[in-house]
Amino acid sequence: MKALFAGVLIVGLIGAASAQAAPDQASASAALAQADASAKKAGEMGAQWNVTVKALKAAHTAAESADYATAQTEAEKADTLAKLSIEQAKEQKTLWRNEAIK
Amino acid sequence: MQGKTMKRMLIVALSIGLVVPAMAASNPSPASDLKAFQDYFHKRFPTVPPADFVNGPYAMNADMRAQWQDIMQFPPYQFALDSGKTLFEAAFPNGHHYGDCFANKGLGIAQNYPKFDPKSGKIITIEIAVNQCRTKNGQPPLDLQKGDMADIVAYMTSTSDGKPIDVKIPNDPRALAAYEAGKEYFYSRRGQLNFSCASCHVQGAGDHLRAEVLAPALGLTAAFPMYRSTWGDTGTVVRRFIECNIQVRAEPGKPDSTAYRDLEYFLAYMNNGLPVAGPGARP
Repeated sequence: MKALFAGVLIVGLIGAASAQAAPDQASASAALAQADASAKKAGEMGAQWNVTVKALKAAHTAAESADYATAQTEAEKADTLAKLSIEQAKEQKTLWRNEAIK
Repeated sequence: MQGKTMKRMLIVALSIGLVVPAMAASNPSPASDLKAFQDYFHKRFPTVPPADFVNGPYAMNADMRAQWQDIMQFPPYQFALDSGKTLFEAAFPNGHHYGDCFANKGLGIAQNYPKFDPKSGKIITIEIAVNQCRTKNGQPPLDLQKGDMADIVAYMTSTSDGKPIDVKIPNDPRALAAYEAGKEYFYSRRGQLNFSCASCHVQGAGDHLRAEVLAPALGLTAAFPMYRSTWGDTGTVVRRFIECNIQVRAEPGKPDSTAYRDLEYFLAYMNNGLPVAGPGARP
């Protein structure tokens, strides 16, 4: 019973690992395109975070040297940060008034 | 029939009642903002004399004040001041001077900046006015943050030392919009750390941030340009804006951006009545 449980667990872990495909040029490019678009939008709103710019730069540098795993990780990080900054800017459009001295 | 009319009248009255306060809340009123802003700091720091707010952290902390008084026996911005005077008085190749571009030959006028320019509809800071003067006289613009610009403005500001700050917001919708945009910028949280200018300089005023004592927003721009020990030289207020943005992990704007001009306009207006204290010195 114990052996069966361990076997099932191992198979499950292997399955989960293999379900997520290793990053390649195509997936990294897609992640970069998405991150570029989100960062562009954040910039246009005046909401850009410098950590987004750093992550995006790292993603592009990694992609140029064919390190697609790093490129994808950094691009996804940049995309998340950009989206958070957009959300912050949208919320602050009204929330800033709560902080104002009246 | 009468019941229906009554109902309609009631709805109209209710709508007016809701719309009017909403309009009042969104209409910018710089004069009432100024009073509320200064009252807030006077009530929060009742032992600080009103004019002392221009001294920032030194008005909040006795130890820092004692150190500053020692430092000021040999002001660290003195080299900038001397260089600024030389640069300011030197003639352009066409024979004109900086003084020719300004009222009162550029002396004792810093308390009136930033100004609203009705021609462009934009806010003109004293640094931008210096660059406009250079362009008019065939010279390339200077870096708005440091170097010769900081030196020239340090000298010009020193000739206004002690004069009450008197920034005007003319009755022009564009001036009011610039003021309101500056106010919104000041209170809006930004950057990955989710800080607004007000987080440090209103809510955190007088508190410690590591070894620093946070300066209150009242008087914040009165001592610029300033020598900051962390910079190791003299810089303008926009240099500090950029530094603050970076510290909260926001991407800074361009030094001549509308956002920074409007922010300075709002902050300088909030200082109205306080004495000019620039150039200043800070840790």
